[in-house]
Amino acid sequence: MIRVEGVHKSFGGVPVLSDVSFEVPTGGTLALVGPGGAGKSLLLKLICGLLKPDAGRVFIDDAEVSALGETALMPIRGRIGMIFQNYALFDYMNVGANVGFPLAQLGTVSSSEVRERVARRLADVNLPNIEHLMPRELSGGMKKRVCLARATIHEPPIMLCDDPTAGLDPVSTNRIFRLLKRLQQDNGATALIVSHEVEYLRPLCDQVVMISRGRVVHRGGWDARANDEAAQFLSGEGVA
Amino acid sequence: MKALFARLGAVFFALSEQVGGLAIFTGGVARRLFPPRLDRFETLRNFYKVGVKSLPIVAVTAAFAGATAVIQSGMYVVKFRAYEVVGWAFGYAVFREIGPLLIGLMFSGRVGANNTAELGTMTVTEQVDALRALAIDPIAYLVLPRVLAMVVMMTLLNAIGNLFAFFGGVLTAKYLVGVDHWVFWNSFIEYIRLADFMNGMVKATSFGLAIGLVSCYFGLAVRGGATGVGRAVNASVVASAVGIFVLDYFMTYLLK
Amino acid sequence: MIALLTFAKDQTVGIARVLGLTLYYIVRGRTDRRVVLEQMWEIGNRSVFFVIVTLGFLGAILIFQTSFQSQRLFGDVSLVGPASLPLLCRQLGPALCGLMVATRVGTGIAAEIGSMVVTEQVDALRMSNAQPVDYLVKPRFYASLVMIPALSVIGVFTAWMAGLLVSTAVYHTNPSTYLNFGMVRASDAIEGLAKAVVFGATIPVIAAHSGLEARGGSEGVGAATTQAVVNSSLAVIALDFLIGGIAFVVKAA
Repeated sequence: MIRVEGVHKSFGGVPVLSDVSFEVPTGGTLALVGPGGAGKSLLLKLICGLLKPDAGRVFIDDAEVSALGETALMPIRGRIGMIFQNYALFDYMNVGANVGFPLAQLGTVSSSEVRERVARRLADVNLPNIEHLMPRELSGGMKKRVCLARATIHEPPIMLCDDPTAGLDPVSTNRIFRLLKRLQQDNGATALIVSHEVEYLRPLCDQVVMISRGRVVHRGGWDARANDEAAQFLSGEGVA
Repeated sequence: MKALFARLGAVFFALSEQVGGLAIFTGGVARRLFPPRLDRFETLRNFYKVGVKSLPIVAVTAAFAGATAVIQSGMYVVKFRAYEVVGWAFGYAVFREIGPLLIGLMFSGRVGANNTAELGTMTVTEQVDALRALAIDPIAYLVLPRVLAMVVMMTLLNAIGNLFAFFGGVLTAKYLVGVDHWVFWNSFIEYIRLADFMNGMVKATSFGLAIGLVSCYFGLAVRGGATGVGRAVNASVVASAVGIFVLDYFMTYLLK
Repeated sequence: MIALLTFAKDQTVGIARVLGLTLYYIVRGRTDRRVVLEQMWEIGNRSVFFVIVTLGFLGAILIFQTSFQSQRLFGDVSLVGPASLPLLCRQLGPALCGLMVATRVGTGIAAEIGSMVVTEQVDALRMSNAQPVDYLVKPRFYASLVMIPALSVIGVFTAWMAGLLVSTAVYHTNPSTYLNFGMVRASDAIEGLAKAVVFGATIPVIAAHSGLEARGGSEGVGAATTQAVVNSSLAVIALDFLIGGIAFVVKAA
């Protein structure tokens, strides 16, 4: 379960998020949509404790993420799989080391098992036998899939996806969303997905939250009321 | 063995490419001096940015340089009880050598690195290409004002820096070595000639030119995003430092 | 002026925090020896050429200047070589070597860590429970603590040898009069090494601090890199003065 309660965050006096609240039940999937610069990526970083809110609280299950220090956050982060907007693949490691990194970092999994699970996960994202390649040798879509593999290698019960298809062509976009859905269903993971691709999100997510100018303007199902900023956006007209 | 030669060869070619590229770039800058067409706003902006904004760091560096020079000569001074030469030893070392050298290295770090980063960012975000598309020559518009600002400001900052170095030296001599400021002043004024000061000024001007050319060259040659900009800044300050030492050596030889 | 002082204070506090965390993880965390060795190669071996070139020229310049003065004042240059070596060991060698490393290694560290920050790689590290200071700063700290003193020794030796070339070629001194260690005291060597060790500890911390503070795209990386050269060069110059002053007082007492 992810719960955000009355979160405020501002940078240099400029409020970016104000009074944002919502909840994702365990096993639920939530789409987080909204125009660019609305604070969606920021919200994800607040949820996994990379940043702290100025006011308000963030919970993952029973733990108050917004009040914990780096050390106390460790076991919680071990249960989160995060997909970053700009891949965030370690550019000095090959693909195999990248994908295996979260497991290797635990220190409890033997290196042969790490290798085995990396190979299996890469096969899951349809990129078998590319462990030896460096991130710079991959196309954008391949990087995203490697990122997906790294985020799910430790079978996290919680998945946070920050615009998993940014800058991808329609074919790759379709493929990423199919993968996301499969990985989420395999684990029964709680998922929070930030994206603009409303038509792909609709079958995937059972709830939607829309943020605009730092505020929640719609929360609940996909059938937003008419004559509403949210209705326009969710029908796909406001995307451009 | 073969691999070693192959690697040495690769290093040699990479080095030649940089030196050659820099030479062609310098030629390009020189050609645009006739007739000089400077964008006045861009020039003034760079004079302000290069000169005024690096003044504090240069002043602090110079004061420390002067103080250190006095401490180091102070060791001999105390040993031989030759208190009356402190001012001379300080003036000679700082004005001719340590002042321009340290101020130059600091200037390269503050201004040169900043300049490479700025031009590098413009390059990777295609702003330089946008200038070209508008039929504006990037060398005349971006490089010329910057190089000019660095030559002029490095020279002026060296003069100001010498003043701060003098204060650093006098204070250290008085409170650490125990040499009265009048003794310091007398030996300074007695032995240090205008030629010593000018020697350092000429060096500073040449360092300014080297830093300007090198930092602009590496800035415009950036490839590959944020990582590329970082690498370019690194390469630029390294090349500037080598340039400063090499120039310093030849100037010392020629101007003695 | 006040803005400048506030900025200086913020930087100092930030650097102290990174230093504190580094020391904390040295006591607490595990260390991957392979990563430290890689960094030693990166910081040490890859700077050797640069240090040799710059310090070589420095030695030549030093001998030029002192010989020129010595000839004018005493009409003799035979003492220049032996008398320059203590100064090289004690001050010029470590300080200039420190500045060169601050330039090459400092920018390198800041650029590397800075671009990891702006491309969210540092966030990805934290999500995998690898703390940036533990994982990125500590190996660089160990590596430069060893390699910067080593580079300083190489630098002093190169400078003195370059001086020998100038001395014999231009001033026609006998190499055997030049190559005389007689005037170097143990205290000179200790002072020089102390400086090199202190620079070795401060440069990576200061550079990493600038890198970790990087914000926003390629512009941010550039700014962080610049900040790293300025901060670490300034630290080298100030610490050189400080340690030199302490040594002077100790010797005078």
